[in-house]
Amino acid sequence: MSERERDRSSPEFVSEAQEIIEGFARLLLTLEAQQRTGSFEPDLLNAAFRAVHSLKGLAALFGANEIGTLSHSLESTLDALRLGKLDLNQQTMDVLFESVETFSRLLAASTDAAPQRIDLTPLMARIDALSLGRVQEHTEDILSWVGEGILGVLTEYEEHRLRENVRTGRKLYRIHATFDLFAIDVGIEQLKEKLKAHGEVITYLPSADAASDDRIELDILLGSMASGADVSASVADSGAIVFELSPTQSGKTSVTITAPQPRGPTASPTAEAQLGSPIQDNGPADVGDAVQGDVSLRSLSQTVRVDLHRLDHLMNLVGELGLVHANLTTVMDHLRGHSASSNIARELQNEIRTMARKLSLLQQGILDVRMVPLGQVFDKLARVVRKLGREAGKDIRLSISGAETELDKLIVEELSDPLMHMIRNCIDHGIEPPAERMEKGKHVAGRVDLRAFQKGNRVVLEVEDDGRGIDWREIRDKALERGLLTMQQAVEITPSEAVNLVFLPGFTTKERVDQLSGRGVGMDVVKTNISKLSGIIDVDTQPGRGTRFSVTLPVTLAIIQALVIQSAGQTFCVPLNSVLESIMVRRDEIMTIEGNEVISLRGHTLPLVYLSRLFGLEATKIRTRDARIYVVLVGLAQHRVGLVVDELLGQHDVVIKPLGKALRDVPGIAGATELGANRTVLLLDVANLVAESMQRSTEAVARGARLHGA
Amino acid sequence: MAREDEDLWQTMLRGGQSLASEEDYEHGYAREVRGDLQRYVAFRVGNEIYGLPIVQIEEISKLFATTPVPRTARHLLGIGNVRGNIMPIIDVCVRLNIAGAPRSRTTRVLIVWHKDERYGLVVDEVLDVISMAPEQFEEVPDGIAGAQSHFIRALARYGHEILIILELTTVLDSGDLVAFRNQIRQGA
Repeated sequence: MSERERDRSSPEFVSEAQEIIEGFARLLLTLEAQQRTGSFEPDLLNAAFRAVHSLKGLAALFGANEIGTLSHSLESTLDALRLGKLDLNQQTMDVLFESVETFSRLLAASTDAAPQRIDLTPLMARIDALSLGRVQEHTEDILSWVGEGILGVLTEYEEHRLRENVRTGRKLYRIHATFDLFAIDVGIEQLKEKLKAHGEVITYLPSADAASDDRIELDILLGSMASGADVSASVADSGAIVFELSPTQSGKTSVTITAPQPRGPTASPTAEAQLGSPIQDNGPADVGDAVQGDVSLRSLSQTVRVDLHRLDHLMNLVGELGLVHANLTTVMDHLRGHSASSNIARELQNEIRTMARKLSLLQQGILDVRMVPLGQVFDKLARVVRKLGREAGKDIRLSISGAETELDKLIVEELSDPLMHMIRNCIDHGIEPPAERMEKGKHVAGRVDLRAFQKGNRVVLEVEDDGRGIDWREIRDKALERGLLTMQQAVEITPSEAVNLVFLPGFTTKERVDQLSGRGVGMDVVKTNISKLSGIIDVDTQPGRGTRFSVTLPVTLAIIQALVIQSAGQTFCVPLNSVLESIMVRRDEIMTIEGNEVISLRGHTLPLVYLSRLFGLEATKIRTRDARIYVVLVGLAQHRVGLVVDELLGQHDVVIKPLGKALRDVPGIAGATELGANRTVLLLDVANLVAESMQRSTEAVARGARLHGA
Repeated sequence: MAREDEDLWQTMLRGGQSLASEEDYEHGYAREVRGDLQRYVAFRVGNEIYGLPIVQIEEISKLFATTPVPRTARHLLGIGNVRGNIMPIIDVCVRLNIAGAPRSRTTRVLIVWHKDERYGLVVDEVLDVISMAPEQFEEVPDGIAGAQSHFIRALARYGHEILIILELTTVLDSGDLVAFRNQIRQGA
C-alpha cells in the first residue's frame, strides 16, 4: 500500500496525467465553441475519449484509484456521446468541465503530503444522471436503404456516423482506390486528406474485388455535402473512382459513375451496393486499423521532459565556464607580455574568442530550452473564464492572441495566479450584467481579450475588458475614507494616479462588497506577484468603455541584464528590467516635500531614496560638495522612485544565484551574482526597496510630516 | 595519539563489536574498531577549542574574499563564493562573543552542511581530527552555561583542554542573521 501511495505522487505520473488532462480540457473548449455554432467535428469527441482512456490506463498503472474510477465513468459517457447515444448539450459540457476541475484537484491531492479527501460521489452521480438522458433509438431506420453488405461490416461507431451523415442530408460516396502494397500508408493518408476537405471519412471497406499480390484495393465511405463531380475531381489524380450512393424507390442502391475511369472499372457500375460480400476473416475494422497506424511501437513523440533544476545546473556550469574564460584571457595577457611567445598568444587569443562565441551560444541554447509558450496558461484561463462567466450569469467571449509567445517556464508558472485574478476582476466587476449592457447599447456578451506579444526583450501581457471601467473619483474617495490618502493628496491627485490606488494593499478591505466600480479584489496580490517577477503592471481605463491591465515582464529570470552601481564603496546590481532610466541631477534641483527629498522630472514629482541610507552604509565620501548626483529611476508596478547612488558602472548580463534559506529574508536583497574575477555582488530587490520607501513616506505623512527618524 | 590507544583499550575491555570494516583496513587497523565512534574536527577560536562532526564538514578552505550584506547581523561576514556556490560566511568569534585572534595564516573557513544548505564558518585555526565515543561527552554544567549555552551541544576532553562541540542549529539560526526587517511582505 505504501509503495502505491508513493507511486502515484511520482513526478512521471503527475506530469503525464497533467498533460493529458490539459489536452482534454483544450478539446472540450474547442468542442464547446463548435457546439455553439450547431455542429462539431466528431474527431474531437474521439480525441477526448482517447485522452480519458489513456488517463484511465495511466491511473491504473500508478494505482491512482480515484482518478481511475472517475476516468472510467467518463470514458463510458464519452463513448455514449461519440456513438450518438447521448446528446452533447450544455449540461453534458458542464459535467465534463467539472470533471476536468476534479481531475486537477485529485492530481494536486496526490502530490500533497497530507492529501485532503476529495468526495467524488456528487460528480459521479451527475455523470450517471447524464446517461438517463439517452437519445431514443430511431423509430424508423433511415439507413434501411443502405445495403446489408455495408451495414454488416460497420462498427457501432461507424454506423452512428453514417446515420448522422444521412440525417444531416449529406450525400454518401464510395471511393474506390487501389494502392501499391508498399506505399499504402502514404497513399491512403494523402487520399484521406483530400477527402476530408469535402466531408467525413466514415470508414474503409475492403473492396469486393480480389486484390492482386502487390496491390490493395479499398473502398472509402465518405459523407459529404459536395457534389459528386467535385469529389471526383479532387481525387482524380490518385486514380480513385467515386460512386454516389443514394436511396432508390426499390430500396436498393443504384450506383452512379460520376467520374471518368482512368484505369477501367474495377467495380461494375451497375453492381448493387453489396460491397462487402467477400468479407475476409479479419474484417474491415482491422484493415482500417492496420492502415491507420500502430505499425511501430516506437514513440512518436520527439520530446523529453527535463527537470528545471537540471537546467539550472547546466546554467551554473555555463556561468562557471564564463569565469574560466575570463581567467584564460588574463593568462593570455600575461603571455603577450613576453615578446618571445607573441605567436602563441595570437593563436590563443583566436581560440579564446571562438570559445566566447560558443559559450554565448550555449547559454542562449539553454535559455531557449527553458522557454515555453504562454498557451499553457491561457488554456487554463479559458477554463476559468468559462466557469466564472457561468457563475456570474454573464456571457463572456474570451479572445486570445499571442498564445505562442514564449517565456521562461518559471515565469509562466508564476503568472497563472495573477492573470486569473485580473480576469476574475474583469468578469466580476468590469463586465456589466447582460441587462445593463443591453441598456447601454453594448453587445450582450462581454468581451475579455487576453493578449501577449513580445516587445524588445520583454513580453507584454494585456487583459482587457469592455465593461464599465473604473471611476477614478470613487477610488479616490474610498482611499481617502480608508486613510490611504491625506486630504491634501486627494485634492492634488490626478485621475491616473487615483486609478493606480487599486494596487495599494490597504485598498482591499472586507467592506469592499459594495459596487464601487468593484476593482480591488486581490489587486495588491497581483502587484506583489508581478513585482516578484520584476514585472511592471499598468492600468488604463475609460469609464463606460472598459479597462486594460498590462503587465510587462522580462523574458527570462535565469539571466538578466543588470545595471551595476556603487554606493558607499560597495557594488550592487539593479535588474535592468526595473530601471526606467538613469539620470544625473544637479543638487539645486532637489526639493523637499515634508522633509522628503524629491526631484521634478518631466512634470512628475519623483521621491529620492538614498541607497546608502536605506542600507545603513557608511558613506565613505560624503559628496555634498559634488554639484551632481546619479539617480537611477526605478519602477515597480505603478510606483516610480529615484534611487540615489554614487557611481554607475555599466551594464552586464548576470546569472542570478539565490542567497539560500538563511539570507532569503534580508529585505531589499534579491540574490547574488558573479561579476568576473570571482567577485560576488548583491542584486537589489527593487520591488521591496520601492515598497519600503513608499511605506516610509506614507507613514511619515500619516504621522504628520515627521520623517522616518533617520 | 594517546586517545586512539585508549579507544582500542576500551574496545578490548568491553568486548564490543570488533569486526574491522574496509575503512579500518584502509586507515590502519588500530583505528575506529567501534561502530559508534564519531570523528570530529577540532578547531581553535580565540583561546577555546571547538569541535564539529566531520560528516558535516564538506571542505576546509583558506580565507577568501566575502561580500558584505547590508541589514544583517554583525556575525555575518558576508556571502562567499566557493566554486559557484554562494553561501553565508559566519565569523564564529563574533557569534560566540569571544575575543578572536586577528586573521592570520592559520585562519580557515570550514564549509559545513546544515539543513541542506552550505555555510562558511571562519575559525582561527584547524587543529586535528579526532575520534570520540558517546560516553566521552559530558553535559554542559549549569554553572558555566551562561547566555551562550545554547550554542553548545556537548563538552569533552581534548588532552588537558575542554573540547566544545558546537550546536549548529543555534549557531546558524537564520532568525538571528537578519538584522533589519520591513513589513513589505506582510502587506501592512
